[in-house]
Amino acid sequence: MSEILAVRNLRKSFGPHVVLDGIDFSVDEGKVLTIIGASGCGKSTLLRTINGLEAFDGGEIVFDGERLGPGTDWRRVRSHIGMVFQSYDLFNHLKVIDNITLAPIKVQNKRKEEAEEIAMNLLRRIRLDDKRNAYPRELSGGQKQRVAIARALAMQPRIMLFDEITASLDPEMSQEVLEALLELAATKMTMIVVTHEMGFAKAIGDDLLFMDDGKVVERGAPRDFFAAPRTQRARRFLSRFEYQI
Amino acid sequence: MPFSGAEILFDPANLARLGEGLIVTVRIAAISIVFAFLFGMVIGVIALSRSGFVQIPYQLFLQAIRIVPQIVWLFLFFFGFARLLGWNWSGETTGIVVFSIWGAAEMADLVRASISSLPAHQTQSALALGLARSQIYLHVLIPQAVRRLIPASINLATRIIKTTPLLVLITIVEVLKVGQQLIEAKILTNPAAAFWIYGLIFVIYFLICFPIAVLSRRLEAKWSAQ
Repeated sequence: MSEILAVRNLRKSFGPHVVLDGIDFSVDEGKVLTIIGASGCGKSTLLRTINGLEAFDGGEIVFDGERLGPGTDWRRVRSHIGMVFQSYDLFNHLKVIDNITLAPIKVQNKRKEEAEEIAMNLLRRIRLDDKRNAYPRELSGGQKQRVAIARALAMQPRIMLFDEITASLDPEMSQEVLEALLELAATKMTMIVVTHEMGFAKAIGDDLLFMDDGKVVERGAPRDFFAAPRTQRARRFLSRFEYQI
Repeated sequence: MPFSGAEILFDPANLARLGEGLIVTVRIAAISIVFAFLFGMVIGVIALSRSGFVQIPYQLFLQAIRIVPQIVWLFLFFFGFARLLGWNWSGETTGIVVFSIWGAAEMADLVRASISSLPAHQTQSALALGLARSQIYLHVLIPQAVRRLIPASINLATRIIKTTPLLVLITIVEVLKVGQQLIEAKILTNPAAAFWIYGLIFVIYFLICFPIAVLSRRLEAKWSAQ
């Protein structure tokens, strides 16, 4: 399996506050990496450094053989890295189809018909092809997130980053979005999934990082991690979820 | 007789003169509004920069326009600069320049506020898709900001229209001045002339501004349905 993304000794601070304190990991093509951890542990910041939405202070990120950092042509790199956020971030003035075709047309200079064909194939895959002419405000939260996924996929990215994309959805809608992610994983899309859904983290990942306080505390197969966490911090973190259930 | 003097409104010569005045009013207001909106958009986008090189001149410009009454700006450009710099602008040119600058300042602040009130995630997700800053403004931020801008910018347009009578003071004969001239000419023979002429001008201003207000409400309803 070839490595598509490698992060080595990544460091980042906001003023005196250290957010990423020497992060190391890599992702192989076709694999799903899940990242869990308490709010504020640095997992969202980590995702955002990978596509340059956040600058980092030290260490290195290598994407597809290319070292990223100051001087990187981020626009080109971002067109190969799809990202979906927690908040609904569809462009509210554009119909579903135009949300999806905007970047392929403007960034990849695709013809409108070609971009629409790609968009319609994606919409059919997420079973929202009947919503092609709907505006975002006519969609449910779960539908919006699925369109946001389709919008990112339309760029035909090498890797997809998901930043707690079900955190503001009710359980039923989370379910439909998570199913869409499972289907995507089945197509061998390389993915990094930051999530608060423990059951989902157990089900989807090939590999799992547990982060705390800007560090990777545990790394391993999700099944092993959930069955027998090795560290005190991981046990404490997981016990909080058991209390809630 | 309650309606005595109303015949002043039916004299074609009077109406023709009022019409000429009206054309001056509408021409100056319309050109100023177009310039104000165009320059306001550009200045408003630039004003989103937090750099001091942008913010200090921008705030000085905005506050100078807001604090000083329009009439002072008109006098400064028409009388002041004419003497000092040898400019020889007509009243109409001066009016268009001053109203355009004033409108552009107000519009810029509306555009700036409207764009910065859009959620940061709109920009973030557009960046993540690989769009350039200029494309994000053009295809994502400005189209959404414009929809939010409609009520306030229509209000600005009607304010510009309602401020045109100040132009009398820099020698422009617009609709209100024509009205005064008509009244002065007829007042001895028709004591009610002031009522009828000003009443007609009242209706004219209403007829100009009301359709603009209706149009804005239509656009708002259309876009809020999306």
